[in-house]
Amino acid sequence: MFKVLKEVFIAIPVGLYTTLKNFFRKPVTIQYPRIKTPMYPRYRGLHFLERYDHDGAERCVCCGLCAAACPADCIYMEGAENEKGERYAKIYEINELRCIFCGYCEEACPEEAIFLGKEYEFSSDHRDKFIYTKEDLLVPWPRKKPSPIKFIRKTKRPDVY
Amino acid sequence: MDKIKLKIDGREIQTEKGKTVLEAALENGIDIPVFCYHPCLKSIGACRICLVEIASPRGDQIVPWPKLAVSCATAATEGMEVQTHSEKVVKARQGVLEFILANHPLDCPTCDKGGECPLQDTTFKYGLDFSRFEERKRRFITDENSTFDDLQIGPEVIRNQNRCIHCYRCTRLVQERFFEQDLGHYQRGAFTEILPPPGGEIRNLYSGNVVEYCPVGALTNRDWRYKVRVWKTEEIPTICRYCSDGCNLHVSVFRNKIYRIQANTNWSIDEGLPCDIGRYGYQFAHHDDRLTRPMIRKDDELVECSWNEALTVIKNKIDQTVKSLGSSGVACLVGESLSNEDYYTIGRFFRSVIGTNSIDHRIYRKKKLSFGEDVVKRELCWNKLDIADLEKADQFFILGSDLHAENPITALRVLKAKRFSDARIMLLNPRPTHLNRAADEEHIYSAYSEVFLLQGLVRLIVEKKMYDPDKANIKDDEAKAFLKETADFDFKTVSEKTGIAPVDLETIARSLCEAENTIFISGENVRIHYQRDPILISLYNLAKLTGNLNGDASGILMLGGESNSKGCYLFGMRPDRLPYDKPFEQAEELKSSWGEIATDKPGYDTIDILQKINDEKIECGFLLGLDAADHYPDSEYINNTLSKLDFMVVADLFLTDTARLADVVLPISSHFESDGTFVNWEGVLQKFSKSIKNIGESMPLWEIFSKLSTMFDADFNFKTADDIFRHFAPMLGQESVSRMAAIPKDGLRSEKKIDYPDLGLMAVKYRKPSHEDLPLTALSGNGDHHFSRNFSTRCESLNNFLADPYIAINDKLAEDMTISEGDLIKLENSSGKIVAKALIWQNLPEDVVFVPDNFIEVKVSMIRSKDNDIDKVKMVKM
Amino acid sequence: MALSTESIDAMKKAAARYPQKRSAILPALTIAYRQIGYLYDDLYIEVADAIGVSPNEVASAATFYTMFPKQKVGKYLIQVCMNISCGLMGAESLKEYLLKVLNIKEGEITEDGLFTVVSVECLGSCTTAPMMQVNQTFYENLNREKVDKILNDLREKG
Repeated sequence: MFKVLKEVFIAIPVGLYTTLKNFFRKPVTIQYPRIKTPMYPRYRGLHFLERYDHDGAERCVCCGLCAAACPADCIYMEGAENEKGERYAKIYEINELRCIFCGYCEEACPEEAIFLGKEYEFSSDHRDKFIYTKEDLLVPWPRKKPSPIKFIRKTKRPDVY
Repeated sequence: MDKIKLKIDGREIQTEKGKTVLEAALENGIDIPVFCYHPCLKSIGACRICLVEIASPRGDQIVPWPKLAVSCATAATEGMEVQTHSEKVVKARQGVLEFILANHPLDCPTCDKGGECPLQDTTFKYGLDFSRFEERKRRFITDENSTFDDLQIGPEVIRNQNRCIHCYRCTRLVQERFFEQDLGHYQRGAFTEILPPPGGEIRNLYSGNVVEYCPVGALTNRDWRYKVRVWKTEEIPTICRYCSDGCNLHVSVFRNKIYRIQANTNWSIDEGLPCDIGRYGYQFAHHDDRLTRPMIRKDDELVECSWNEALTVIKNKIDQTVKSLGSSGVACLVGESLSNEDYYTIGRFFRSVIGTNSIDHRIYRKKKLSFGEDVVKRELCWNKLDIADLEKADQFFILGSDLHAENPITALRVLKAKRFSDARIMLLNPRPTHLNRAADEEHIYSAYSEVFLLQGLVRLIVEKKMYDPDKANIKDDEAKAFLKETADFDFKTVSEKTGIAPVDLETIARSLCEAENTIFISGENVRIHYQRDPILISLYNLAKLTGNLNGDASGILMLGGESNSKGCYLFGMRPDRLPYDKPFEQAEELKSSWGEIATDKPGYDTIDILQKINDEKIECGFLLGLDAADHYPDSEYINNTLSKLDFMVVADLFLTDTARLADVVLPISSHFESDGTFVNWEGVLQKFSKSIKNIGESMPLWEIFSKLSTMFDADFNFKTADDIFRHFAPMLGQESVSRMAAIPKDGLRSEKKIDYPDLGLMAVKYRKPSHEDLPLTALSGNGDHHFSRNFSTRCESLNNFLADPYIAINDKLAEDMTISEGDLIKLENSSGKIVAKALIWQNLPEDVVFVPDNFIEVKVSMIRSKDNDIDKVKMVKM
Repeated sequence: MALSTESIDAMKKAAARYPQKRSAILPALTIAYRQIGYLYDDLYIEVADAIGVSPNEVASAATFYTMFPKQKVGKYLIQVCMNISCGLMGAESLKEYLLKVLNIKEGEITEDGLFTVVSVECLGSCTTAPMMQVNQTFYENLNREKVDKILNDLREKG
C-alpha cells in the first residue's frame, strides 16, 4: 500500500517534473514546412552555378575539372563555342542522386563557378527529375537577392589572363 | 655505325656516333623535358628546357663544362658524363619555365591542350608554384570585343598567339618536312607571331600535324574545339582506311563517339605525321547517311527490314540461282578497303559454300590487260621496298603519279630524302601535281604518251651507250637487237609525241644513269592506263639499264590503290587465286579447313562478269563495300548491266548509287566498329581495333557471311575477327603470330622478298588508243584533301578544305573561251556530260582538263566509255 | 602593281647573283623600300613573285627587320635613338621637342608629308649622344637649336 502511494506521490511528480521543465522551455523542434532551420555556413546542399556580377555571364567555362574531381562521377558536360569565340558549357548536368555532396567540385573549380548551396528540399517522385541541367543550376539573372558567395579569385571577367 | 660510350646520370650508355645527348638519354628511358625538339626535325635549341650538366674528358681528367648545355643540340661524345637532374639543372629548368610562363596565359581551363600539354606537365614537374612577375602578360589582340584572342588561320587550325612559347615546331614542320610555305613566323623577339603568309591560310595536306605537335595550346583544332576534355577520352589504335600507306592512328573515343584522330607513331611507316585525310577522315562514321538497318526491295522501293528477313531472301535467291544456272550464276565484286578478315570470309563463302570462283576487285579497269602468268610482270606489282628504304635513295623518278594525293606518306618520305640527303626528284606527269613544290625537274608530257617516253628513254640510253655495262649486264648484240626492234622510237619522234624537249630527255637519261640509287615510282595514272603492262616492262628495262633493279634503295614501286588493295589481292579476291596468293594447284591445304572448293577452272573477272550478266549467265550479284556504279569507268554501261541482274545484293555504309539499284542492301560497319587487319603497299599487315559500337544494326562483312553460312549448313563459326585471323594465320608464314593480339606494334612485315629475274631488254609496242574525235583529254584524280569516294566527302572537316567539285582548265583555254574562275562549264562527249565550276590552272597543258573524282555530284564515270581507251571531251561554257 | 618595271628588273638581277633565290630577299626588299618608301602586305607578294620565292619567306624576313618601315612614313623618317647613352643625354626630351615642333604624335606624318618621328634602339653612335638618323644620315651631339636648324634645312630642300 505504502509502496503504491510512494509511486503516486513521489515517482510520478518526479517523472512529470522533466515534462513540466521542458513544457515551458523553448521547443527544439520546429514546424518544418512553415518554419525552416537556418543551415550552418558550411552546409553543402544543392549545387548552383554562379554568374559574373557585372554582366551576368556564366562563370563556367566547361573545363571539366569538377567532373574530374567528382568521386561519384555524377557530373556530365559538353563544351561548345559561343558567338564570341568563348568556351562555355552547352550541356551541364549533375545527377543529384549519385552526388555525395562532398564539395570537391566546388574546390576544383578554377573559375569559381560551381558552389554547393543551402538548398536541401529537392525530393521528387521520379528518378529522372534528379538530373539537374544547366538551366536548373544557374542562378537566375537578374538576381533576386545578392549572391551569398564571397569571390576570392575572380570578381570580374578577365580582360587579361 | 660507330658506337660510343657515355654516362648519363651515372648510367653507362652506349649510343651511335652522331646522336645528341638528348637522343641518347631518351633512347634509354631517361626523361629530359623538351618543347622545341622533335625527332622528325633538325634541332634548333630554341626553348632551353632540355639543359643538362655535362663534363667531358680532357686528357685524363673529366672536366665539367663551364655552362649548362642544351642536350638537344649537343652531340654525344666518348666518355662524356651527363647530369640530367642535378640541383643546378633543376634550378635552371625552373628559371627557364618561369620565363616561359611570364607571358603564357593561365587559361588552362579553357585551353584545348589542357590535360595533354607538355608545358603543363613540365611545369607540374619542375616549375615553381608561384610567379614573381607582376607585369601584365603580353597579349595579341585579334578582336577587341572578345577576351579570347583566337584567330582562325586555316580551315581547321585556330591560333592563339598569347600561348605561343616560340618553339617553332609548327613552322619547321611545315617548311622543313612538308616543303610548304603556308605558315611562317613574323615580327621578332617576344612579339614573334605564327601566321600564314599575307592573304593566305594554312591548308596544306599535313596541316593537322602542327596542331598535334604544338607543345602548348597556341595552335588548336577547329574540329575538336571545346567538345570534350582529353582525359575523358580513350585512345584506341587503328589504321587509316584511305590510301595504301597504312598510317597508324589513335582514335579518341568518349561515350561511343569518335572525337578526333591523332597519330600513333610507327617509325617504319608514318613517323607520326599522318595527313589530314586520315586525321579528319573519321567523320563519315557518325554521318547521318549511314545505313542502320538492312533494306529490301518491295514493290520497286527499298524498305527497311530485319536481318533475318534479308538473309533469308538472299539464301533463297542463291539456292534458286544455283538450281537454274549452276553455281557460276553467282558472282561477287568487292571494294578495296575492306579488312582481310572480310576477304577471307567472303572468299570462303563464295568458293566453298556456293562454289563459284567469280570474285574480283578490279572494277576500275575498262578492258582486260595482257597481264599474263609471266613472273616478272606479276612480280612488278609486288613492291619490294619498304617506305623507310625511300630515305636511302638519291633519286626518284616519279611517273604518272600524283604521289602527293595518292600516297601522301610515301611522298613525305620522298621529301625527307630530299631534305636530309639531298635526293633528286624528277616528276613526269601528264598534268602538274603538287609534289612539284620540291621537284628538281618537272616535265609534263602529253597525256597517254608514257610508252613513248619510257621506251624512248631506254632507247636513248642504249643508243648513246650511257649505261654502265657492269651494272646493266647487257650484251652488245642484245642492245643492237633492241635498237632495231624499237626503230620507230627515235629521239625526234619521242620528243614530238611526248612534248618534252630533246635536251630535257637527254638530261633525264643522263641523271638516271649517273645516280647511284634511283627509285621508280608509278601511280594511279599507270594503274588504270590502257597500256599498263608495256609501261611496267619499260620501267623494268629502265631500272635494269641503270642498275636499279634489285638494290637496297632502288627499284620499282607501283603505288596508288586503297587501304587494303594489296590485302584484297593477297586474300584471294581474284578469280584465279586462293588466299595468300596461292594458285589453284595448291588448294589441298585449304580444302582441309574449307571443305570442297571448285578449283577446276578460274572464275570470271570484272569484265567477264559484266559481260555474263548481259548474256544472262549470271543472275545473282554481290557488290560488297563497293560503289560500282561510280567506280566503273562507264556509268551508262554499268547501270544498264547491273539493272539486268535478277538479284543484286549491295553491302555498304551508305545508300550509294549502286545500292539504289539493289534488291537487298546490307548495312556494314566501318573499320572503327570491328577488329581487323589491313595490308599496306609494302605488304605490312597491321591490325586495327574496335573503337565504337556498331552504328545501328550494321555488321562487319565477316559477321554477315558467317551468319549466312549457318543458313547453308556450313557453319563457319566465326564469332570474332580473331577467330578468322587464327584461321589464316598459318598462311602468313610466321609462326610466332597465331592470334591477332600477337601482331607486333609496328605491323607484321612479310620477309618474302624475291629479286626480279634478269630477262634482258624487252621491246614493247605502242598501241594507238581508241578515242572520240574531240579536242580535250579528261584526266581525273584526287582533289585537294579528298581521297576516293563516298567517305572523304562525307567528312565536314575535309569539306572545309574543298567542298565543291571543279573542272580545272588551262588559262589560255579559259581566255579563248572567255571563262573566268567559278563559271559553270560543261564537259560533254557521246557517253554523257558533267557540269562543274571552272578552276584555272596555269601550267595545265592546253589539251587536258582535270576533274577530281571524289565528288558524288560530279561523276567522272559519266564522261567515260568502256569502248574508248582515252576519254576525250569537248567543253562548253554554260 | 606598285612596283615599277625597273625595280622588278633590278630584283631579278639581284636574284640571279645568288645560288639560292631566297638569298635575294633582302636586296629585293631594299629595292622595293627605296621605290615605295615603306613595305606592306601586298608588296611582299609582288616582291615574292619577282624573285620567285614564296610570300611567306619575304614577309617573314621583312617583318623581322625593323629598319623597313611597315606603314606610310613622311619623306624624312627621323629616328631618334632612345638607348642608354642618348637617354642619359636627354633623348626623351629631344623626341618630345621634335614632336611638339612638328605637331605630330610618334609614327604620324606631318601635314606637309615631310616628317615622321619614331624612337629606335641604339644606332651605334653613343659617343656623340644624343643623336638621330634622318633617312640615311646621322645628326649627332644634338640640342634644340641644332634640331631647329636641321628641320629648317630639310624643309627648304622640300
